[in-house]
Amino acid sequence: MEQEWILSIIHLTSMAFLVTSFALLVSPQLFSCIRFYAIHSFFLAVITLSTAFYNHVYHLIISAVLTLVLKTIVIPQIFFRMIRRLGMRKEVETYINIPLSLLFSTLLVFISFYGVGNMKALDPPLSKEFVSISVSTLFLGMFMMTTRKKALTQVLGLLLIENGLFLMGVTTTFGMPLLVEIGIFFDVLVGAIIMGVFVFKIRGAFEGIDVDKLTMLKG
Amino acid sequence: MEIMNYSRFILSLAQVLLILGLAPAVSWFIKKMKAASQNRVGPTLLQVYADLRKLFRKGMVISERASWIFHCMPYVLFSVTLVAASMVPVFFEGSLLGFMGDLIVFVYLLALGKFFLALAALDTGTSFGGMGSSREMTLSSLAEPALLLALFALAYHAKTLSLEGLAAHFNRQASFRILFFTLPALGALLIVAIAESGRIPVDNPATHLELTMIHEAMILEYSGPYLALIEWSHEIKQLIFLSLLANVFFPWGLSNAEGIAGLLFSPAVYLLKIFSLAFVIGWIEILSAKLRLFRVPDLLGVAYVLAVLSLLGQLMMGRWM
Repeated sequence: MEQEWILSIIHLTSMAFLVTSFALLVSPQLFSCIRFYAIHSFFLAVITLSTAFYNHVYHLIISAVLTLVLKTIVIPQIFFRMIRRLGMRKEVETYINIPLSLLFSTLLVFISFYGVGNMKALDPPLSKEFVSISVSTLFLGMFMMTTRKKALTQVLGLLLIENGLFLMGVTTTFGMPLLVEIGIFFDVLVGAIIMGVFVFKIRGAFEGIDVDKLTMLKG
Repeated sequence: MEIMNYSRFILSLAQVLLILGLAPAVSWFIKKMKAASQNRVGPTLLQVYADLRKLFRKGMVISERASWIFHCMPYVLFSVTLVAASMVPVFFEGSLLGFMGDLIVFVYLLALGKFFLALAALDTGTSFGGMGSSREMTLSSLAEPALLLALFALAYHAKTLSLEGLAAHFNRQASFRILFFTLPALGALLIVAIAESGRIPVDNPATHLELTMIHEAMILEYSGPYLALIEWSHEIKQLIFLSLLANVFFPWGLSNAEGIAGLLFSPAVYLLKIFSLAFVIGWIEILSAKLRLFRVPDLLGVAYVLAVLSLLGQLMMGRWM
């Protein structure tokens, strides 16, 4: 009975996870984009926690807590500070408009759903929809990285990809050994900070973080 | 068996009459909420019925260039809306014309009414009418796929296309387990309901400002009883959508025509559900500003994606469930 409840919670949060990736992709404001990233990571933490209880893999609780602290609190705060210091415009600038990107991302979810197939090779132990959900999160992150003009939103796309990979790792293999996992968390944190520094450098050199201007580097 | 059928008939008739009577009250409730949020008193409940009665008694001013379309539109709109209303289960599991058609008929009956509304707005040749009907058609062509797809997502789980069957099916489900796909479908249908009933993020029912109006622009030429019929059917349409939302997503208290206690209990639960949904819609109306017309397709796109995700989520989870 209790297992069934946990399974329903997992279904619900995985749906919310997917919906939040869409929200992250189409929200027109930079602040709400970052807030959606925080919500996205929050759902990731909930999924990790329920996986831990559903399969009795209790070391995943540490991963869930780390996700909650780092990705829903620390990294968004870093971004908020960065925006404040850069004093940049609040609107997200994209190459294609919102309805079209909604359509494209729906198509990407379809592709990942049918492309993954029935996954006999992977045979994940938990409810198996997570492989297609994490692959579609990967796709959506890549899509976000290719269609955004600002460096900051591209970094958000990269973090979306990382969330998808983490979800895949947790649900198919119950996570890597804890030491590796902590290392990955550290990597993500340092990555976010380094990319922040990069963004500052780009602005210093080109007076803006519009990556179109990077083509001027070509000789 | 004979008595059973007879009581079912009486009950379904009562449902339609309830929708007819309740529709202005729901609009009044949202108006009153809005007035309270702006520190106004707002109309009393009797006022909305008095308005309708007054309009029915008034004479009409009709353009001499108006053709038969202009004259028959209010009747077509009202009767089509009434037929659609009698297909929706309200407080018990059956409906008067539920045997007549499924949700596809339901959606396109409403579309037929809208088609005549747009035609009649073009008929008199005013510029406002043309503008209003072009806007209405643009938006409804975007809302329709979202509405149909969200209903299909629910029908896929219920394995039936009839509205009665949907309500009965979801009445018997454990509600927490199916939340993962009913929640996106609920979001999609809520957005469509707001768009279809001309509420604030899409259209503003309280203003006649030429830059923003959609529904009001189309009925600008109407007066008297015709206007009353149009307004009334608009309110009925809003209530139909709310009843659909209430009975599919919050199906508790839907009685099955057996036992007097259930029959007394279920209309009360129905009223509670409808007014809480109206409260949500009124709250959205208070909190949000009207969207620019060119941003409305984004909102309807969100509804469409939510409907797709609801269907796709069932396919993803359902493969192994």
